[in-house]
Amino acid sequence: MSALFLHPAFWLFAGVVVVFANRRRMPGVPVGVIVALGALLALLRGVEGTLETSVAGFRLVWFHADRLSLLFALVFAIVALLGFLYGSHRMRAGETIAALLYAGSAIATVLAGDWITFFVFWEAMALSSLALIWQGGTAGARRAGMRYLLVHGAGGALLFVGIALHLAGGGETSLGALASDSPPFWLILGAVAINAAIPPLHAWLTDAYPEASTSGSVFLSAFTTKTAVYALLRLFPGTEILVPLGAAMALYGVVFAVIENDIRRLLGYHIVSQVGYMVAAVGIGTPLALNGAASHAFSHILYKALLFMGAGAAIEATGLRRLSDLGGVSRHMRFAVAMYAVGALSISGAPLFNGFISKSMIVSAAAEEHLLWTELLLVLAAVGTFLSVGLKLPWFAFFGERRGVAVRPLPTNLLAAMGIGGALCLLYGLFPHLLYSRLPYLATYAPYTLDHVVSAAQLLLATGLVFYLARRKLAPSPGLALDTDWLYRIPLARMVAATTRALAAVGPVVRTLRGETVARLDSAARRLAAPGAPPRRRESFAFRASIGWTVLFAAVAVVITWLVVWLRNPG
Amino acid sequence: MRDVLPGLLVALPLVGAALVPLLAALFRRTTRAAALALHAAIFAAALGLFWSAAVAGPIRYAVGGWPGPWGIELWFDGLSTLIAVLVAGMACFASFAQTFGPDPDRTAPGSTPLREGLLRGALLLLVGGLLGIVATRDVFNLFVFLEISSLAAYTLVASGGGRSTVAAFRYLLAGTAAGSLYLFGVGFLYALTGTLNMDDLAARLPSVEADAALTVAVVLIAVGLSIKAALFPLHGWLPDTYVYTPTPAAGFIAAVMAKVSAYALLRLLGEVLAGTDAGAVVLEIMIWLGVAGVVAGGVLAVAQRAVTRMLAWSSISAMGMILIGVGMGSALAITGALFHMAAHALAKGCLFFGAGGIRALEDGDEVDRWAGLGSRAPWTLAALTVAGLSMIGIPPTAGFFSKYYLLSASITAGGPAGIAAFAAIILSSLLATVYFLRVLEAAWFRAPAEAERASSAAPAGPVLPRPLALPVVGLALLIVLTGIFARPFERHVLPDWETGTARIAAEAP
Repeated sequence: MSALFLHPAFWLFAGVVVVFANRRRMPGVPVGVIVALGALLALLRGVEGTLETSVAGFRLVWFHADRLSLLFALVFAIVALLGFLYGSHRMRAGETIAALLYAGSAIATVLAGDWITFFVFWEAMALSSLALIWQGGTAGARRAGMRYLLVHGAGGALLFVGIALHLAGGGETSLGALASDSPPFWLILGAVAINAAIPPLHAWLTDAYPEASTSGSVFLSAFTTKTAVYALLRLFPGTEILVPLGAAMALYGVVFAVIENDIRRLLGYHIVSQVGYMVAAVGIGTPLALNGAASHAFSHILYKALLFMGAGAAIEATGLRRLSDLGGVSRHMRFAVAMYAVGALSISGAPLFNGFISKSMIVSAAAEEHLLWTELLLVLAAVGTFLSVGLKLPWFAFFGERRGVAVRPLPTNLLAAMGIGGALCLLYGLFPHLLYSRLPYLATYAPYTLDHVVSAAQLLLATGLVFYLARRKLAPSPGLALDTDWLYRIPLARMVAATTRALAAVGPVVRTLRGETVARLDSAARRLAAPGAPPRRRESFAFRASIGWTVLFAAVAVVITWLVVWLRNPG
Repeated sequence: MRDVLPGLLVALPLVGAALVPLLAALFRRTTRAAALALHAAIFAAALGLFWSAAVAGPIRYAVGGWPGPWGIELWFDGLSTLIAVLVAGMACFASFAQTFGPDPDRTAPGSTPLREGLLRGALLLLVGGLLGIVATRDVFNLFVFLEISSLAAYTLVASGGGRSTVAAFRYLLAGTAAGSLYLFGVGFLYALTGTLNMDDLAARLPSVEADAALTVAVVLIAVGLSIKAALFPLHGWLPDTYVYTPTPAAGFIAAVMAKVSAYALLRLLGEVLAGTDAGAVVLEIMIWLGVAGVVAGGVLAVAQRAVTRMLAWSSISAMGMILIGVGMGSALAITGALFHMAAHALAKGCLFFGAGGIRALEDGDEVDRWAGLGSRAPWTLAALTVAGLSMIGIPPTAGFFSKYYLLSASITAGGPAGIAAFAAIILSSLLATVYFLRVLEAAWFRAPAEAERASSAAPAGPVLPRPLALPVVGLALLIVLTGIFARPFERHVLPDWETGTARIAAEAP
């Protein structure tokens, strides 16, 4: 039992109970901060070993700590702490509960030691993140949540079928790399690819994340995609198809980010792009590349949370979310803009920031394996990243022309969370060994060599120059850039509407054919049962089943049997 | 204990059904307590039998001291006692919910103590009939209990007045057709073999295997019971019945009524008649119809706007899943089917108690009416959420494990039917995700509509009164407990099934 308390997710789940029980009396966030801190301390103390139980005949390994899972759990706990601190001025009990469940199940997913536990928390993560999106509270959030649900429902089904086939085929119950080219391999890869937002399966991310609340999107940016990266590292290291997919993904996200107008959607495309680096690194599969993927996930969670906090700060302060509406607000929120800049330099891979120490590791790994095209695509994506996050977004949102936007002062807790996030980005950038000493695989790497630093600096300076020359062309335009979600937003929606219309057209015909009798019986029965009762509101008669069909089908079955028997033995 | 309990289990509800209305005419309050105590006693008897069968092996009980195959036998093994516990337990909740009032939907004419007593009597009669079906080893006796339970059910369905009367009439049409077909089938079997005892029948069937009448008998019995079990496309009676039955009875009828018929199908087709050629063909067809029902029920549930009607269509989907398990007939599939009976009964009972109460008190059944209920009654809605998650099949609820067993059985069975069943069950989970989360989203994340707030039709405070809230929360707890203790269940039920079929195989010459 004592081992239970060592499980970091236990802290978060216990927090859910506390918040729920006191939902009317106190805000939930202090509890969130405390339990996230508890989980973090539990992890920093260096928990080890395994925690197993046997439930319903399955051996469940709730806790299986090795360096890979501990690295992810640690950064999840850090970002959960930052998220609760960031949102503590506005998060209510419902959102806190959703966030606690989401963070807890993400941590529990990466610590799970067997397939069933992994699946359970994977699904819990999908549902709790959906709850978090719905906490956005707008009609847009509701509809985006429904689309999110459909995609992740399909992903969960794929994962379930894959795991069921794997176990039914006598596979290992503990998590481990899968035998390639078996049906479970492809099914589980498909499910993980959905969560990793590999195009064309990525549209749920950029669709749903901007619709959550400002604090909600900080949580969302961290867990789902990075848990998928963890799953790729754990289950599919060295799967070659991931290399081109990841490289293409890195560039794809950036292209859409450059033309995007909604600030959080823009950052969402950068999640796609940055996860592309990690996916490609998992595909390369050398120890250096795998270390690169793990460390980039670690760095990415920190700076991406920081960037979402910055975007959220702009939204909190102005109530606006589009580049074309914002502008010239930097004077009123200097600290937040400075911290955003730290995040932007990190994601762009500028030396001294934490993106540099992990991204350059992936690019070097690609170079060592002589994957020229991959390296080129990744470098190109880095250019686009700096262009959109480092230059375009701050230029048009924070600086640029003043539009007389009213700016509210930002609460201290929000700024504190951003400050801590920025400090962490700098800390890991300045002292890379803090991160490297926790990496799971055996490979040494030195980030601060002359050629790494020079090439990164050249890249950033050249990009800056290009932006300065072309800044008018890059001015944002209002409007919705539809991505592959067009497929289910337009044709699918039209198909459903057409089907409904067709059914609605058929309905009256069927109803007239038999409705008369029913209506007459109905009114007679009502008169019998309650003479003088007022007529009741007519209810919808959608798709009532008919007794006539039941009896008819039964009769047909019996008659066919008679016929069959009679034909077989006439007489 | 083994000598007394079997008789008590069937006799208690039948005697109680006669006494309770009399008592009600005299003392109203005592009747409530007495009926509840009676249901508790029946439940205790069922539990005792379950325990006894688990510890000391199956019980064969000769009614009136006349041994089979001449007398009527009752047979209690892991399977039948499990369903008996389920029926008796759900009846306790339903009896508690009946305190909610005989006309929760405000449609029935004025209520009197006698009327309440009669409805309590009808519930007891229904329980007696269902327990009889579960226990009996005699095919004609099964018909008698089938009719007893049906008549009691018609009464309970019609007690709402208005549309409920029509729904009861429709149910009566379908139920009568079902009963007649079954009786014809039994008549053929009796003419062929000269016996009505199931064990005796199983032993004598091989000698009449060649007779064409046997095929007709098997089909008649299968079709008759399939109507009662709402196997697609013989489900016509189900949606209206579930929707228009007054809430306390709806929670019970929706939970166990069709399942007991599915159990009878399992006993007769899966065990006694499985060895015949016609039985094998019918079971194969049942898998395919089950697949069709799983898909059709799910799709039509998505198409509904009214919550209770959506739940009714989802029941058709679930019955399809159970009958897929019955049709496959492997030990794993039977476990899945039985477990799904239990899981679905708990979840559907919980949901119908909750949704019915909300429909009555919020004066509307559309999904929009659920908006904002989560903040008003978090515990009730949390319980309903657990039930919904179990219907979808999210671990660690009971619904996950039943689907897990059925999926494993489909994989093991293989072939086109196995693949189709596998795909249908996965698809049904997806559809259930859509239609349940739509309701839960409204309840938890949407504020009540402006017009609603303005008219102040929705009062503050608890959504459900205690007679309904307690069963809802209790059942939600049971759903989780059943999920967690899935493995002992499997250990207990499976051996009885295997020895049962083995015994029948051994007795066949």
